[in-house]
Amino acid sequence: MKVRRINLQEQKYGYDIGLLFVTVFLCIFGLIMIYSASYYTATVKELPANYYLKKQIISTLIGLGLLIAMAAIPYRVFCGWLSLVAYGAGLILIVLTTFTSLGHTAGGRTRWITLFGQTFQTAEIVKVGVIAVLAWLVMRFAKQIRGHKLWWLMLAIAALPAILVFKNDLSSAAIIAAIPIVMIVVLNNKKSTYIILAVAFVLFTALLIYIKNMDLDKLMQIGKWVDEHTPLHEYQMRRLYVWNDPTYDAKGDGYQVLQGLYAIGSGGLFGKGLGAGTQKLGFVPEASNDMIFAILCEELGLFGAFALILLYIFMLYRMMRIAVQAEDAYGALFTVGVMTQIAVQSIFHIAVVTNLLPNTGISLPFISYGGTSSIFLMGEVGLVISVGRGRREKKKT
Amino acid sequence: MKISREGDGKKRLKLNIYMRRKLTIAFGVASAVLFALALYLVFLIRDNGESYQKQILQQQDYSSEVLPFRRGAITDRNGTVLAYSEEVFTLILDPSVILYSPKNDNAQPNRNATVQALTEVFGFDAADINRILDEKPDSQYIRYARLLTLEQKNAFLTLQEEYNTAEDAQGRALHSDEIRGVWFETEYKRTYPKGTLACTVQGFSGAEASEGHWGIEEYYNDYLSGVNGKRYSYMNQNGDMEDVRQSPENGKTVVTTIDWYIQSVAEEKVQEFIADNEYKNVGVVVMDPRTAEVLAMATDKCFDPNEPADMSHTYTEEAIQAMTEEELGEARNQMWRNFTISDANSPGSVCKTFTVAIGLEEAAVTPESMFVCDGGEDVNGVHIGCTETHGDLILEEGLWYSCNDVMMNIAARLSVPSILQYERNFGLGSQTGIDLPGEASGSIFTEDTMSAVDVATTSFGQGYAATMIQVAGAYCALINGGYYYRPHIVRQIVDENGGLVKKFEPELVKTVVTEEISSFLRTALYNTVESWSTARNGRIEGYKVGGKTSTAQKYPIEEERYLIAYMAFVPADDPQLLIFVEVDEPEHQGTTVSNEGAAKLEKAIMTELLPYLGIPKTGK
Repeated sequence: MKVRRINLQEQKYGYDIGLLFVTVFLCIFGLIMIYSASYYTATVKELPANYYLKKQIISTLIGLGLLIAMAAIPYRVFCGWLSLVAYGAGLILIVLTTFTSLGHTAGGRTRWITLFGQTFQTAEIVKVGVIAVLAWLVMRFAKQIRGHKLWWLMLAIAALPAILVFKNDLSSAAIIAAIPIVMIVVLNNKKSTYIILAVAFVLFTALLIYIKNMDLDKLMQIGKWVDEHTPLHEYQMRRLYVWNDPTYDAKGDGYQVLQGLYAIGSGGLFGKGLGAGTQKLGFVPEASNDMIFAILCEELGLFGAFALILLYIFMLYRMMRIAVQAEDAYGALFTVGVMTQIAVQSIFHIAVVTNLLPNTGISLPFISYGGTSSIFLMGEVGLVISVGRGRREKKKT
Repeated sequence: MKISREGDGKKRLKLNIYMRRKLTIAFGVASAVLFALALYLVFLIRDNGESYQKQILQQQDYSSEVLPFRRGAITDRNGTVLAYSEEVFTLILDPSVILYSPKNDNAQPNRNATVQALTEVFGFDAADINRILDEKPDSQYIRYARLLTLEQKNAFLTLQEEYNTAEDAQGRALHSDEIRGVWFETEYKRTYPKGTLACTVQGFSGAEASEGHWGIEEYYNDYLSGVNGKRYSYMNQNGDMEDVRQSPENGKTVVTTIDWYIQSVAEEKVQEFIADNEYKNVGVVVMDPRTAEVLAMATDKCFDPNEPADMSHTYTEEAIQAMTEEELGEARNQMWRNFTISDANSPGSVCKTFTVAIGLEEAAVTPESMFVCDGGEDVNGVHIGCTETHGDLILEEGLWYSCNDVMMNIAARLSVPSILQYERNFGLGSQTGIDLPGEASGSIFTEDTMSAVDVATTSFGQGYAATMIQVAGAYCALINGGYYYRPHIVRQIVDENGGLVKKFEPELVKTVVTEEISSFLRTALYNTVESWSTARNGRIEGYKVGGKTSTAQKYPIEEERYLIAYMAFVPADDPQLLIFVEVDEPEHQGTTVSNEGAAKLEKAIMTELLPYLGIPKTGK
């Protein structure tokens, strides 16, 4: 290890304009899609057509403010007790949401908390807390706690909130669990760990493929067995039935998935045109949220879907560059965490909408309707930009 | 990991080169997965795009609102409504609207007002509504109550309007909440305002407005049914929602030939009759002999088309309790079927008139022909008896005394083919084609099967089977101058506004006898009633009634089952009303059967109808 003197001639990167641009672009794109997907629902509920758009614009503006603020603050401020506070606050909010009357239920899921007359989606807050605390943990204890022990500690720290949100928000639980795993993959240098992770991943994927291709009748038999012999209930298994065959209960449980597929399939190469889709007209539930990618496909076609996917890849690329060049492990790992969240969430969203994964109700980052998600994601991006600002390019002197 | 010393002198942990590599690989994997998803989309759209597009277009049809048609009414000949479809409403709850909170919290500000309004107007159980709202908070369509009346619907809408727009003295909204998320859909409920009246003639309509079971509801289902309309929205090229309303095409009104008063008299008298007599079936057909229009058709079986499965109008509670599932089904069918058109029996002596008519038309006999009744005939070694030995009789007296011997004598002078041809002309042996479902064709002999014995028994109405409508239809022709009109029960079809859609003129099928012979038969049957035969039971003072009795044996003879009947028409010289009554398997002592019951039932009905129809009092 080499101790290097600071070289004042090193060039500062400054703000990552590319990342800022792609974030703002995605948000504006999201606003357009939200208006297209929600005006009908709003009208049906006897609200102004731009009701949801307005709310989302306000959230986006707050998010943008937060982004700029975070980008301006040196990120190292957060590497310390603030990370612990963020994590702890997230945990408390989750407990309040799940176990007290402060929790707000919509669509049969208790995912929101009402504070100061506003509702917040707690899982979004927890995600930042987990990312921050894990990055800080590595930064602070990597010397003292080595190898597997550190990995287990990281997993345990993420497992706690993941288990708490599991019941109401399976997809958020999966994202929270993915954050330490990706960090471990990056940090780890032992073959055995990779082998264990690889085997677990292959087994899990194989199980998914097996269930996906299983005969529905057989799956339903298993569902009955699970109902009788485990604390799980059959209605919780229905999600798997629908995943296996969306035409199962096409008017009930399978409705959302099937209508989403219809929307995607009918879009064609260039779509029906922005605003011209028909599936949002009462057919696709959650059109501006969990199913927004389906509406996007219907209206903008494959072209639009590819464009969006490329935007995500570009965003991840910018973040990867920042992480690789980050000045310290905290900045790098925080960025890795944000990358993980955005990548897993967008992949899950698209996979759910195309019925490649069971329907868990997951929003599309920066695009879907949802104030908490927008504000916190933009704050995270702000912090990543701040990390990027701290980079210095090595200059041969 | 490596520690680097920064300008501030602190050691800082950094990612090493391997970690950075793995970070790059992780990014690569994520990008690859995103690309894979994009590729999957390509295949999804390529393989299913077309069928999904179709599915979308199809379901937009399905999900659009159906505007139901109104099933056509059924009226009697004077426009009295026998069946109509009443506009009723289905109440739809939209929990997603009722529970909506603008702040996305749990406040549900409009819930209480809405639930309270529903409870207040309709008397619903608030707890039940709240349970549904809790169980399905996101549902947008719950059919909560059906068959609500227009008054109920309007009461709710008025309350809603008043509540939501109420203002206090300063012009501010009085209520902070709203009644909302309750819709009404129109549907129609089939209603038979006269209850059981003409039930077997009308039949009934099922839960679906396009269904008709039995009777006119079934036979004229195509006219009574309409076409559902629909209302749907679509997006036009400018991106605006456009509402399309396709009005339903309502069903047509069927105007029957039935006269509800005549029908009610016939039914009332049948009910009085069956209260005092044992029988298996009782049937009454009332017709206008000039056109073969059916004025009434009554049987002892009775049900309320508003509740077609309810058997209490025909069977006693004990009898229903005792029935097995299978027997119940059979009993229901018996209750719904129309004896007067669906059951064929040997009509007996009323059909002696046919034999006389054939003899005259074929010039085998004349009104002056003399016959000798010696108590019976031996035909191919079989002795066929008459009720008594009548001695010397002229043709007409053969009818007065209902003499089998005279009839056998006439038949013996006729050829088998001509007898059968006349029977066919009279509408026997095949369906008359009356506009009702479930008509039996009865049975007559054929040229190959008709033996000399069959010729003899046929002459007095035994050995073949005919439905009541067949016999009554033939009688109409014999007494109206010889014109066989197809018996029918519907006069015309009109649309909602009373515009004529289709008129059913009396359909002349054939001229079966000459006016002269018809006139002879009228006189002979008038004299039959005026004579001292059993037909005199149908005599009504002051009126010229023509008539003929029947006492038919049912086969096999050993079972001693009988059918009694009475055919009557008035006035005898210009018939305007014909009533035919059959009592199937009446009570009897051994082989002694009285046909008085049928005559009395007929007379009771006719007596009531004479003043109503203004039949001239031309008799003694």
